[in-house]
Amino acid sequence: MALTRIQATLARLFTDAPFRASFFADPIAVGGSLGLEPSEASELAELSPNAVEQFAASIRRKRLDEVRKVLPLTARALGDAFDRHVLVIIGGAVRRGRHRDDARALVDHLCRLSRSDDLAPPWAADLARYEATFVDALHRSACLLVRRFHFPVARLAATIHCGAPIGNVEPRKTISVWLRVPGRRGISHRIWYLFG
Amino acid sequence: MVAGAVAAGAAVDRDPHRLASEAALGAGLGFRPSFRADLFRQPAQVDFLEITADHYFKAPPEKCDELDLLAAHFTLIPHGLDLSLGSAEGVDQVYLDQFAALIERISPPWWSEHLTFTRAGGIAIGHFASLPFTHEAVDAVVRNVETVRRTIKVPLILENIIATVTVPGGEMDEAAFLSEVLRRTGCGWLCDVTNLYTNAVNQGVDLDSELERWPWQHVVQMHFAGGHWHDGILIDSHACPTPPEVWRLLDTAVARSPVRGIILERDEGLPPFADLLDEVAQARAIGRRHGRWR
Repeated sequence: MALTRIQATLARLFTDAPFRASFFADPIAVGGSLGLEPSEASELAELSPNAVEQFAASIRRKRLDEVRKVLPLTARALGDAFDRHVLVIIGGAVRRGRHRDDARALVDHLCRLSRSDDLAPPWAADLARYEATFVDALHRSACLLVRRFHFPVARLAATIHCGAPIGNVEPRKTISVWLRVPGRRGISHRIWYLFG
Repeated sequence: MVAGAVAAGAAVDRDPHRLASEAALGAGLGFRPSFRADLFRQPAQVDFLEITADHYFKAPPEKCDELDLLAAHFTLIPHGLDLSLGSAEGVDQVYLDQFAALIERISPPWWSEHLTFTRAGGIAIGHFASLPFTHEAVDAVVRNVETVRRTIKVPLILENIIATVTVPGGEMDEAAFLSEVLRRTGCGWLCDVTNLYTNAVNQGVDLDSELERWPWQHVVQMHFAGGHWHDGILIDSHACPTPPEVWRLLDTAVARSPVRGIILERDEGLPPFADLLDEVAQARAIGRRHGRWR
């Protein structure tokens, strides 16, 4: 067996649910599309589908946990819905697998839902974008990042961080700036509420 | 790209000699930032630390400060997650260079990675995938270790992983595969006792009857922790206290091994720091009882 082809096929099986289903339905044809010889595909078809699914699930759980660590306030705000949203963005498609990439993908997903009024609470996308920008700034040696929000995200973040209940949140235009000066420790962060 | 071919069956025995001269470290912890303050309140209770190497690659200044602080007070062993030493495609030179820079910065007595592949066909799997237990896979690991050694001269030790998926076509079992890899590469063994136990439980193997088959003479370091049960499967979540069965296996493994250090590897659901120190103390006592350190 050519190890390169076998490992490439295993990587797809572990990370790509539609591919997994089609491979176990017709291993010769689907394996052939990845360059597997019929004998190699037949041998890989002896994999336990249950074991492969368990491993795929453990990868999803691991990625989910890592996204939760990157965006802890967003996770707290969304509650049980957080896992559901993350599983949407890490299910099926093959991604690079880095947790900050997954977090960025989640932010994009929440922003799309927010634009179509399909997100509850409606300020969750702003909160996720706010939190992700902190992470982004933290991992740069120097930066000036400016972001505009529809909701008072800094107050929301502080409230969630304290564990206080969030009541009804009215939209409020907000501009936030992150500044990291080369050679200096820490991030300088400022926020302006535009109206009222 | 991968290195040139290494003759099959040729044993490389540099590292065991270098590792044999390394002093024993004792018992320590896998470092997690959440217990940093507690750690520095009681530094004498922890003999050494294992750090996740990947967390310090291209690190922001604050992480670099953290690394320097830790290195000033503890011996640090960098532990990698994504070198993918079993990849037939070879190792990622960019990742390897980052690892080399970290090792140069902290000068550890050894460093560790997993005996696994995490990347293939342009996909980052994001977890440790089992290698097929074949001679071709042994050759791939040997080639990759040779590549790594051209960049990093500090001894490398390899960790046995959880085997959720058994890849068909195996030509040997895990014990034979690991033994062959260690013999051919000359690497030491980072024996994850919890992984050994978890695989045996999930595969219905009586580990006690197979102990003689594992390469205990190559052990340099050990990991231990507790997992949890989920849908009839034992999961190595590193989220629970170490169960009696793993303590018993750790004791057996230490008795058979020239181990230099034992690390408690807790990740999730961290208990009060005192509970972690109790487990570290218990591991230290096991090492003492078997004469591995004073």
